Amino acid sequence: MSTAVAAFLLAVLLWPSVSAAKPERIVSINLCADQMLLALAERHAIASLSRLVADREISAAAVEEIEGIPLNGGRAEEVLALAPDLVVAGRHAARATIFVLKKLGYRVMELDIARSIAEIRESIRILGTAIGEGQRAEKLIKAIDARLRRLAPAASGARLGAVYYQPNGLAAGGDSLVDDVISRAGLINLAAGLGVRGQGRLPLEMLIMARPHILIVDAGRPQAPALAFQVLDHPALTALTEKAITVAIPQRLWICGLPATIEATERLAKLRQSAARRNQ
Amino acid sequence: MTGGDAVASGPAPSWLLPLGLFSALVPLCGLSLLAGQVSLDPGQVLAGLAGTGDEAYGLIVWHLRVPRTLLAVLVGTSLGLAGAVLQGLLRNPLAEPGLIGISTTAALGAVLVFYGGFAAVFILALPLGGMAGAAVSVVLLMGLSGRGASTFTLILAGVAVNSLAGALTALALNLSDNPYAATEIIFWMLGSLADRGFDHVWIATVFMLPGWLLMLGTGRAMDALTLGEETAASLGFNLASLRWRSVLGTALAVGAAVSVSGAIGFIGLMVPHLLRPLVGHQPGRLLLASAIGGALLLVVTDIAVRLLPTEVELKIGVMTALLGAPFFFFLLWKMRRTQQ
Repeated sequence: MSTAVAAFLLAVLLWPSVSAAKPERIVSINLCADQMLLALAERHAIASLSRLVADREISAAAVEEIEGIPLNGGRAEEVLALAPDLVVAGRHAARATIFVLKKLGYRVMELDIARSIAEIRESIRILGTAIGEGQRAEKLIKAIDARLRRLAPAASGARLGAVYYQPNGLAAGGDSLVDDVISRAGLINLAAGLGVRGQGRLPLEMLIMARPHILIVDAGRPQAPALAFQVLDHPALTALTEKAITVAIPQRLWICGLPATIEATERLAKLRQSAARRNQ
Repeated sequence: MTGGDAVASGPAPSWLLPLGLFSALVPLCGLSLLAGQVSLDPGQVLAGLAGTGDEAYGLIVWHLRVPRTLLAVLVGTSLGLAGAVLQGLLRNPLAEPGLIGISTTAALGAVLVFYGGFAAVFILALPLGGMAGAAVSVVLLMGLSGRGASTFTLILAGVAVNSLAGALTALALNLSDNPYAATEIIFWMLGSLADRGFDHVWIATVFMLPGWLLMLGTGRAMDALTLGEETAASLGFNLASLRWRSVLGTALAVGAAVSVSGAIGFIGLMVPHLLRPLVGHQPGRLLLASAIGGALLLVVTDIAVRLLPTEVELKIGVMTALLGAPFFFFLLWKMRRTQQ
């Protein structure tokens, strides 16, 4: 009798987690979650992705990868209409939407913003487990580790100073994904040394005094003008870029922490190698 | 007899105050070259100016601090002078480019031109847009004051113009395809001299200089105007000419200033009021003094925003409002007391 009750209780306790183990209708309302899902989930289990995933500037998803998947604008109403069994969101975005969805009893998973490649591996593992694709996640992590091992020689030797400079005079400082990528590529993130944390402002004067060997900028910019870009065209910066090596990295490689982020690391490591050779 | 003779005998020689202000402005410009996020000592700044020191010093001093200081002088001059001209012409102590809406419509004009992509094709389109915007509200306000509007009607009209132009500016910025545009309303509404370059100095100067000359040339007619319009006309002053020179001069100087630095408020209000007792309350003599005084005040405020330990540099309009808004309130309080 007691064993039957225990078995029944166990079944009741396990049932939700068993049913949750393999969601069939996953909706993502976050650009980073979109791309993680594309890498991990079965195609038929993805009910919808956020609209941003189709923006080639900031999304690494290939056109054919997302063809046929409905896109959403990330509002609670749209999400409800999609009848998801799992909603994946970002940790710090769309707080109001997440609150409403949770209140209505939907299962919402919040992905952390990766601040290092180690945290990308962690995110892959957590999402993989949550959607019942643990094995696929482990395989992806192994592939990332193998790529990181291969780029080690290019990243070794003399370290050169680099700054990732963005519109409005923002730079990637310490405790950010870009900082980790820059260090793993064998470069020194000068902005971190100047006290910038996360993404913060680095005045043009300080950038000039830092004398970076390598200046990393975004590849491409919007057609429509904005004052934010004027700092990148400032004569003082132009004079600096004549001396430094300027490299354009597409934002889609590191705006989210993804397997694609390793490509940014590889590109910078290769650049460091050739710059170091030129310096000798 | 000329109108000038009646007012030429002031309490002190008329060149003394402008000279005094100018001799304070020069060392302050030197200080402005020392202020920045990188601390350079005077020797390093001089080496940067001369091109003898470290190359980075040269870049910082010549490409960042010199144009910034020049712009503070140019924009401050334009705002101080325009304030003195508007107060004299409208015989309204509260007239000021920011309060009566001229700066906001200038910002709207510049925004339409810049975010419409015209400034990228033709660099002078930016100040031209600012001037067209400024001209719209100057003409509107002149029309209003020509109908005998009171001091406060003009200020209330300014409130209406400011709201409309501000809303249209926000609309234009939000319609832009550039994701950064919408947040840039803060630059246009509060102004900044950060990271400006020599091209901003040139495009502004080209239009400010003729604007200043037009405004400075109104001095004697302004003095005569204190005796009333009829007396001024009987003394041989052409009031229509005074009006169009003031309108055009204000539009040129304020429009060009706002197009490169955003709308910086209260300089045109504070400076003429502070200097008026020192020129024996003669609006003509106030013009040159207010021009230099405006430059002085803006150079000082621009040094202050760079020295404040804020994470992101404070917009200069915040600083001028911190000084100017209480000043404005004080003026209102004083006016009420004299009326009672």
